[in-house]
Amino acid sequence: MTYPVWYVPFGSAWIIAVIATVHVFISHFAIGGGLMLVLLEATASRHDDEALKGWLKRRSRFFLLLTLVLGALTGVGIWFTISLISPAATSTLIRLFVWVWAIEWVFFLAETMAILVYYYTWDRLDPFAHRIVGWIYFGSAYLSLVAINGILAFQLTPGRWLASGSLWDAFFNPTNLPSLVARTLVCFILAGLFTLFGLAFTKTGPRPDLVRRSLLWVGIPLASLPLVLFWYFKAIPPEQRLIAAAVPYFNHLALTALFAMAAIALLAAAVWFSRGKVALRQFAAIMLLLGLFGFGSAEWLREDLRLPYLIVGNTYANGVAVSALPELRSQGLLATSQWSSVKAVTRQNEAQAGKEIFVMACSQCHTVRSRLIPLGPRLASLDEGFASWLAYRTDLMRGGMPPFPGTAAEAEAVAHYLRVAALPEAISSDGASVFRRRCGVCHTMSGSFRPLARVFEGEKAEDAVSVLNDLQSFSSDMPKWTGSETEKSALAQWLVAQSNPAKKGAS
Amino acid sequence: MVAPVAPESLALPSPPWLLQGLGELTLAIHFLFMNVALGGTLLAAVYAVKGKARHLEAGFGLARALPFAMAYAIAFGVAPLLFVQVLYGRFFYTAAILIAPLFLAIVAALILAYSAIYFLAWRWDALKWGRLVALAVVFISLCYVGFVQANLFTLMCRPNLFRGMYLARPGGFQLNGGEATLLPRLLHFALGAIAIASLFVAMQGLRKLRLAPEQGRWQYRSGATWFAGSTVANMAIGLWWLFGLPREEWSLFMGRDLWATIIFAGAIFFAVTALVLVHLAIGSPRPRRIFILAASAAVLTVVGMVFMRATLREAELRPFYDAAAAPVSTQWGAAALFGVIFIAALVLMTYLARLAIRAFPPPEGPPLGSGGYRFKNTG
Repeated sequence: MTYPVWYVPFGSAWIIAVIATVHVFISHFAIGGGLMLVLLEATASRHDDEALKGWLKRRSRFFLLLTLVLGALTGVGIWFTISLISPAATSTLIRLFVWVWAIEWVFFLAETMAILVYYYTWDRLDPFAHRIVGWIYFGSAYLSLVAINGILAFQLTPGRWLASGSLWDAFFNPTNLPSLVARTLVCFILAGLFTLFGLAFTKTGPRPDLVRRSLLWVGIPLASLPLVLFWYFKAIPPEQRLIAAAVPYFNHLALTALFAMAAIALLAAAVWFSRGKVALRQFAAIMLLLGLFGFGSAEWLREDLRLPYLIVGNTYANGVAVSALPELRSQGLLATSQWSSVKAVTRQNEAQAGKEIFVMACSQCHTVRSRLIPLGPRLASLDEGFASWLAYRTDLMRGGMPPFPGTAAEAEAVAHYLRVAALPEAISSDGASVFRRRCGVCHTMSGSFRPLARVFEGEKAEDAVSVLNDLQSFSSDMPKWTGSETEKSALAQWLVAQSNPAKKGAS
Repeated sequence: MVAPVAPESLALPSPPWLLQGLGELTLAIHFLFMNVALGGTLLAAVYAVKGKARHLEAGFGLARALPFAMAYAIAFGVAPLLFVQVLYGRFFYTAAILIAPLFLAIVAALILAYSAIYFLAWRWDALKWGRLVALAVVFISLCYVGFVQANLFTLMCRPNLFRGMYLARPGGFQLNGGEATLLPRLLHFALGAIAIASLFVAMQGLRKLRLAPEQGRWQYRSGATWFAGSTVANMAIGLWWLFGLPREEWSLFMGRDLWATIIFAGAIFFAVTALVLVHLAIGSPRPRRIFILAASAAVLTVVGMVFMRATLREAELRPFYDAAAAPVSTQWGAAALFGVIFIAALVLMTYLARLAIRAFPPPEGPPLGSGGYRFKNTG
């Protein structure tokens, strides 16, 4: 390992999740909101609408605070956090994209200056010049997004860069454009949601014309978003989509995002057609919260699409370089790392070695027994042999696990550490439970990721037992059955019942 | 010697001199704005405590400027952080991880300071005693940021400490407390911040000479006095820092390395020049021109100090890493694109600055030095 790992017992991924969710929410709003501000100012100017101008002036103060204080600093926060949690990948991104980041910084500088001038020169500049300042703000903010979007998209689809090493191949990667279009639509949606929220809480009451305008900013991009997201998913290589789709909570995140989008659309329609009869404050607040949850889930989903990588094909999720893996597998993680206190697993140091391996290889995404994907209880509910095998063959597991970056003895030590450090999950010997603990980590029953249903189609329970007795004849990657006879029998019956629905209940 | 940290996976994307030059120049600008923010907060607090009308006027002038100083301190802080990560990533990331929670808390401290700054700027008149509370929040938060940054940037130059520190506290709750130069370094930065902020107070005093000559005169003198006091004290602190370094490091600036010696001598020369000019301006019929020269000399002092800091870091890391000898795979096209966009943005920002000046014209009055308001009270 090039870098030490900052060990956060409750899971370092929480930190990035919280900061990133807040930042992307505000930064996308900062772009769309900037455009909306300047367009509404043009409307106010055209109709000599002093009331609207006054509202925009007050709103630009909120906008300045939100974007410069929270938006800019949570952006710095993301940078700090990824430097601490994923230093190797951050270093690669910084070295590859330094000029893109420098360009983004120029836009950020212009954006900072423009928003300050915009806010402080209301009524001091002629309206046209003031609007020009607003346009400069929006343009800089949007170009800043263009730069960052290319880097984010690169992490998922580095495309030809893996072979060419060219910056331009890296930046103009397969998901760059669809991602940019999707983010642009999100900017408009969030601008609409924030403006609706602001209008709902004005002392003089919301102006119907502005409410309708905000709803259009929400509705039109929201209606186009599914199509753009479909384009985005099609641009991801199929093998990456397959891995991501097998992440157990992938569907939950996707459904949360879709539910939030649908709910926002329904609430927007309700406000539109009710013509002021609904409680706008409550509706606007709920819509904004749904935006936060929906957008947050979608961003989380995007991050997980990269699994088991941080930079697809280059750096694994635990910071191990793809190119370094063979050496780690043969020499061992402890022996090659400068950050381990023990250099080889012995009977005496097994617990310490296991803990250090866990910190270096697993703690980036997992905890021992906290809420964030705890490994201890899961492994403690398995026999030692199977737990050690699982720890060593993480590459076979579904859910985008990177290969274990160490030797078999090191995998055994980490499995031992995790089993001892946590209480086992409540163990049930029914077939479904045995399947989840033993088979489900690498297979689905009827899904798309190594499905088992076909294997047991037309089979009887006795045949299934035979299969379980001789797993390695199917593939050398399969482990030996190390569970109890009771578990085996229950699993066999369950597998047959699931694969042959008509025969359910038959023994 | 075995490197305490492994090298990065990619080559440098540009020649080190370019990355270093851009990094140090943007860092100097960052320091100037940061100095106005930190030193300005302290001076505003002093003025708020003194409480006379002229003090409050000067304090209000600082409070109104703090949001701008902070915005640009942050904007110009991003660029050097980027370039230092490109050049010294393996040391920077490792040191940051060793003090991770304290490093990350910088973000919270900045959000707190920035929010309090806007609160102050927009509510100065209404706040009364609340001013001091808000100023204390800003000052303590910014001091925390400086303290952790000083720990980080000294620690990154001590790779031999990395392994032991990590194994002792992998959770990162530790600092580079054993660093002998930490205290003089912090004091040097703090006094430098007061010096630059007091120049800013003096500049605001000059702007007031036409419409409020008494306030303008007093404010200029107050700024000039603070500048002189903090700069003279800082020379002593600077020597403490310099001679607190190992001999092979301080001797670089004393003739062992020509480039380092020239930078050091230049920085001292400009600091003394600034001191002299700031006080010459008091007796001059054309104080503005002399003040501009003094401020320019002070800026050049900061630039010199920044390059001294870089020279010291290079010397400290040389046994482990030499940026000049690192593999380079130059992205000239991207660097050129950056240059073009930077120039375009400069044009745009100049336009914005002109609009801002047009929106806030200087107060009208008879020109200085033509029988109108003179700097010295000749009556």
